[in-house]
Amino acid sequence: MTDEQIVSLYWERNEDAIRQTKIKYSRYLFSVAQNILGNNEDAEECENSTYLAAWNSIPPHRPKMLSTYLGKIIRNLALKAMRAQKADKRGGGEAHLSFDELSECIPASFSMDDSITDDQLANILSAFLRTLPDADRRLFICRYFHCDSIATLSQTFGMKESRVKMTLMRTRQKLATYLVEKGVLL
Amino acid sequence: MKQIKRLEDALGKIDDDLLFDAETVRGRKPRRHFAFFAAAACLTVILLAVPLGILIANQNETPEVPLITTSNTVITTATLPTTTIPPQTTRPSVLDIPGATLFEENKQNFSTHGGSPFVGQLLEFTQDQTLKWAERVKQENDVIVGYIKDYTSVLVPDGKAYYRISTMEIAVLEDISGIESETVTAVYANRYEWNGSHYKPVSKYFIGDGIYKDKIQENLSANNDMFEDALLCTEAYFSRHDSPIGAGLIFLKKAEDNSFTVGETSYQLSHYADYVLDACFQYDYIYDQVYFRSYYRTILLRFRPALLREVIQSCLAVEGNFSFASYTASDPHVSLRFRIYHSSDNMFPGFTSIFYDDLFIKNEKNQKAQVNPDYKWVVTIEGVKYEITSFDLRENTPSTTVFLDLGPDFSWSLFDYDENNQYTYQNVRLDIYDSDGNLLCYADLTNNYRFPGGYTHTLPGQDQNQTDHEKYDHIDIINDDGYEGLLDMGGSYFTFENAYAAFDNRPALVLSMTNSNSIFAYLFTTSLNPTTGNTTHKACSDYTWFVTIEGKQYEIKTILTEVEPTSHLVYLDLGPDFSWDLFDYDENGKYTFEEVRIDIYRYQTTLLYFANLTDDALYGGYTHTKPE
Repeated sequence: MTDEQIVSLYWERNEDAIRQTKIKYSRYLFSVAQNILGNNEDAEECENSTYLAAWNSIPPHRPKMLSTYLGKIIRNLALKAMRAQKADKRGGGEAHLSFDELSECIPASFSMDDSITDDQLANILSAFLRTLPDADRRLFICRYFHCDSIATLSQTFGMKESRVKMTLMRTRQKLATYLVEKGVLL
Repeated sequence: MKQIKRLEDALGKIDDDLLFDAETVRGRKPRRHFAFFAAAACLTVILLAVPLGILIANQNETPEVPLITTSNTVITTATLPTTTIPPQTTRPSVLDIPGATLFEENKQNFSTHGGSPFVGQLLEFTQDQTLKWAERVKQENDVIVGYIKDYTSVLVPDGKAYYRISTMEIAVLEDISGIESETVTAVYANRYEWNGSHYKPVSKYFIGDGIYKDKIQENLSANNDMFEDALLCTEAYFSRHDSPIGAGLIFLKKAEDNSFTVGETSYQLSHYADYVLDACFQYDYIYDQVYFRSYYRTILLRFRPALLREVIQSCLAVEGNFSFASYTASDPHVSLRFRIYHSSDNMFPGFTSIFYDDLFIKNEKNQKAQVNPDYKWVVTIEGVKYEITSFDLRENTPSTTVFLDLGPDFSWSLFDYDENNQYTYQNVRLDIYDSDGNLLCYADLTNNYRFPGGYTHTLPGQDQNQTDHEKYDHIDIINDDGYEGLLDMGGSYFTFENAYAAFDNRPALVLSMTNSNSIFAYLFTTSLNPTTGNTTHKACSDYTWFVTIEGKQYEIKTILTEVEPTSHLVYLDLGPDFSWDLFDYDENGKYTFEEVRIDIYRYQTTLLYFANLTDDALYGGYTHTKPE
């Protein structure tokens, strides 16, 4: 079933929408949550919450790309769960590692300009990603959006793990420079 | 921490086309390392597959094919002609509703309670005491007591709105001893309507029969047809779940006009009987699938007399943890320490426990809690009984930490600690007797969820020969998970610094924490600058620190750290409101602080850590010399 058809089901308040969403995107959504949380049960909970969130948000939304729409929801939910877990000193998946790496994008001597809104920051990140070569950009997103492991990325991109790490490190350094140039980091 | 969080969150909002592009790569089968050949082959396959896909798609129902251009940015989705799917003329059966949609409200409520698997099995009250308690609740609240034999709910869509149809089969108890007078089936519906941003409950209807049938019928609206339909759905749902779901407590509140109010689900019962809430946060089932948690939330409220004891287990002490503490307020004996939850507006809304008020009473003079002298507390450790005559209570919200002084007869040297200074206690038990000598409640501390193989204790320090100073040289920190830890003060308890330059020469409270301390890692984020190799620590923004000095609380706005070889010095800015002049220093310029306390909250709501810096009896407060 197409995304458009599935979205139409949501708009009709037809609960088959959830089943069709699950059929089409369950694996994808679960993998994102699992990467972040490192725990099947919690990932499953996030996946279910994502369906619920989709049910509650469509309408009024009519996403053109259902996969990215759901992907953003589940990443957000999984991050929230991960942060709660972190505060409770439990669990944690690949995200801990990938976000540790991400912290290198904010050198210790810099701090983020609080006046920049989250949406502005997201736009700046998008603009930065567009400056990258395709492979580097995809690698970066797979690592820091989907929280794929280095081993998975190595397989997916047909690179040695060391090269994956090196590419990611260079991209992080570029991002740090970019953020300084754009006045995000002061 | 906050900045990284912002970066993480911003990444979650990057443009869809970028994300979609990456998703298409993730969706591919893994490439091999001999990449060039494989990549070329892949590309060939993709190039061939796209038009082929179009051809195939034109003939069946696979309409969407992502097209990836070689450009960095242009990602398009081609929607291809599809065969027409006839519109669904009938509403889908509720049997097809995925479980995830069934328990929306319970799920949300569940999440507000956090995720910690609390297990309440510290104090297990006896049946007699339990019945006495239930009778008291019944009388004080003027309620009819019943229990839920069965409960379920389904969502029934109605255009853009939906109904949540819930069904409860309630056994009304004639008296608290458990004689059932009648069974009521209450079916009620909540209507939720889309308000532009989210669904809001707009009305509630009751349907049912039994002794309250007439009253319930009056609640029926003109929408009878819908309800009949919904009832059919509900019955169909029941038929899929033929195993008993469980029983739950319910108090039916009777109004003057003989109408009644039903607490519909576990959390809402709190509105009708606070005491019931005790059971809500027993998270034995935390690791089960989410929609089954809701069931269990209901099951956890089981309250028919035969099962009362299970509920009462968690009534007073939901903290299943305990530990040995190496001091008490009165004497540096070994204490048995545990926590009893008694109230909290943050973690467990509405939670109160009359047992707490029974076992602990307020001192009329200072309003501090003390143990009710009517009760006798006995601790049994590996077969030897210790009657407790000295208690130390630290009352906080939501819990009180209780220290039971085991007295001079108890010593760790009685037990065969191994070469690693560890010994596993198999039998640690607490019994509380009432004034007539009857057993009131008990706790088998080493035979529970927390300590499945007994309680393994490690001797603090290397051995018993250490000096008292070394032994007690720490800040005792307990968090809300029952996790206990020490912030090692490294020989210098804590100090005040008169004029810390980084705080505009204001006074600072200085703590010394060993850098291997696990708590430090939770309180501070560590960043390593790969270029310079420097490590920096920042206080985690999720936490809010308060320092209370002699009754006056100071919110700490600035925290700085200094790295030492084996520890961190943590400087807490006491702010402009703090001054040495607030205290009556004697003629020698000395003043003994009796209350210096740190409270660390998570998100400003949940007390996560606390450290009472001056209540260690060995120190008798903290004597400070007024700075010049």
